[in-house]
Amino acid sequence: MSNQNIETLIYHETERRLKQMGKKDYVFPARIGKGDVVAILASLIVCGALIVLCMTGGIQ
Amino acid sequence: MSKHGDYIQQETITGVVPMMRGDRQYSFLDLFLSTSGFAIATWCYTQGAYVAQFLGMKQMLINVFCFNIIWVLIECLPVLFSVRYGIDLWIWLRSVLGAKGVAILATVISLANFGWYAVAGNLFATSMINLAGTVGLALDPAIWEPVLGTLCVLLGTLIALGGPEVIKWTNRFLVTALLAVGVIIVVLCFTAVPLSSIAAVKPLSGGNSLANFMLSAEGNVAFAFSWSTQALVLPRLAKTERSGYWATSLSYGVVAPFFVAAGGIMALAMFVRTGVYESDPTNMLTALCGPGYAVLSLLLVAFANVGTQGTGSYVNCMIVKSGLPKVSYRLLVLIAFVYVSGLTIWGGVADHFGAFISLAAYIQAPIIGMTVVDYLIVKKRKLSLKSAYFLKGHDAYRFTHGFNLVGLGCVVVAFAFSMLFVYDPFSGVIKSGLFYIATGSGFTAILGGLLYWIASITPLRRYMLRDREDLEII
Repeated sequence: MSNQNIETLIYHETERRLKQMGKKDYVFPARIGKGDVVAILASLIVCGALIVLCMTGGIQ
Repeated sequence: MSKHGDYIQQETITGVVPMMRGDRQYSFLDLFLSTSGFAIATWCYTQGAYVAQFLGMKQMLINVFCFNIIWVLIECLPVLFSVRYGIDLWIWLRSVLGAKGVAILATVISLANFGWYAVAGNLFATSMINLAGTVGLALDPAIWEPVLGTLCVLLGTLIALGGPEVIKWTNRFLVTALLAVGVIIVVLCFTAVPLSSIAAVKPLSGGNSLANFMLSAEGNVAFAFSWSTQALVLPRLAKTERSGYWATSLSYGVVAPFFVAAGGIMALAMFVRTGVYESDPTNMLTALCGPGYAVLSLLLVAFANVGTQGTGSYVNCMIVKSGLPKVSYRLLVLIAFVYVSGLTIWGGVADHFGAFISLAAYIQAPIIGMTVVDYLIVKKRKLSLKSAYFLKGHDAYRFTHGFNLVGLGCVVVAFAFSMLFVYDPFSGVIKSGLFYIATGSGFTAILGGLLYWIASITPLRRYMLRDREDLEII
């Protein structure tokens, strides 16, 4: 398949798929929830605290 | 299926075409195992042995896990975008760097990333030679290192040519075996050398303890950053944002560091037993538990390095393809085979491992900072997908001759500033107190993101954000 054909094929397929995604009835994958955000923040805080303890000599 | 249908299917799985809901192949477990298979390689042991020389056991464990978890959780946030629209990070980056900017940086970063696979090939070869030695078979390294290293790359290439489905099934088996071997190794270490003796080891390097802690942190931040640009390729195969984010984050932030920590504990145990820090798992197991146990390292070295080669080749060829979509995936994988084999036979990357990982991290760090800032703050999780694919009538991301000068300027300034004034990874010279707060790689990421955010609140905003009227798919 020539480069020109490949480019055209990819273009039209991408255009078709984006059109589908733009429809109101297209269902996107489920979003993350509040629990995930809390888990991320809690992990960052705990890890940060342990690092600070090591840097200040609290944990040798 | 018609020839065109086949080709479209191929371009969806191993190309840049967005994945629709029905195309997604990976559950949480599939993505977790595939990503873990990619993350686990014997360089984890090299990294662990490196860190063990600077720190005692408690600080080493905190250093390894906490720096990796923090940066991986942050750099993986754009995974949510990747999952939602079924496209990889590099499509988004067209809006940050421009089409040609992505083509150049994707190629440069992949060329650098492939250095990791040469290291995996080298470690595979040396471990196999050491293993042969334990059963009385003397292999000449001058002949067998290039041969075995290239064999490792070849086996990985065969997996990569099979695409995500082959990678998924290969890793289901490999990673389960690897995790079991990793746990067994840690238990064997603690059995062979008492925990109290391992915990009592004082850092060999001596000197300033904060400097030691942050130099180790530099290695771990660089390790975390090494996944970043590769981390957002596989999640497009995931079915939900939650499974995509946590499977990716846990693999890079917990599983890979677990093997680094295992390598560190083994290095400390080896130091107690022999007075030498060792990083080759074959030698470690032979010395600590006897030659019979070295077969465990055969499993580890063979499975881990070949699995990593396979997934790594797929991921990095996909990165290059996002910049050069017309080149076929199969051709890219074959070119990667030749390139990585050449690097493996040369052996120079493994000889300068510390400088290599920091330099690779320095190239990726500003992009990590800018991506997270762009995703969360500047573009607020909204991208013009039609502009990102340059569909007719959607020109928001057609920048100056294909280059987003603001984005590329932030990359260059952050990279140069950190190299000149914070930490030089080549010489290992700390040039500023900022290193003791953020590490060199961490500071580069923060500076890249900060510069990009500052630019977005100046008149440059009009140049950066021409897509706000073109957000049709959100």
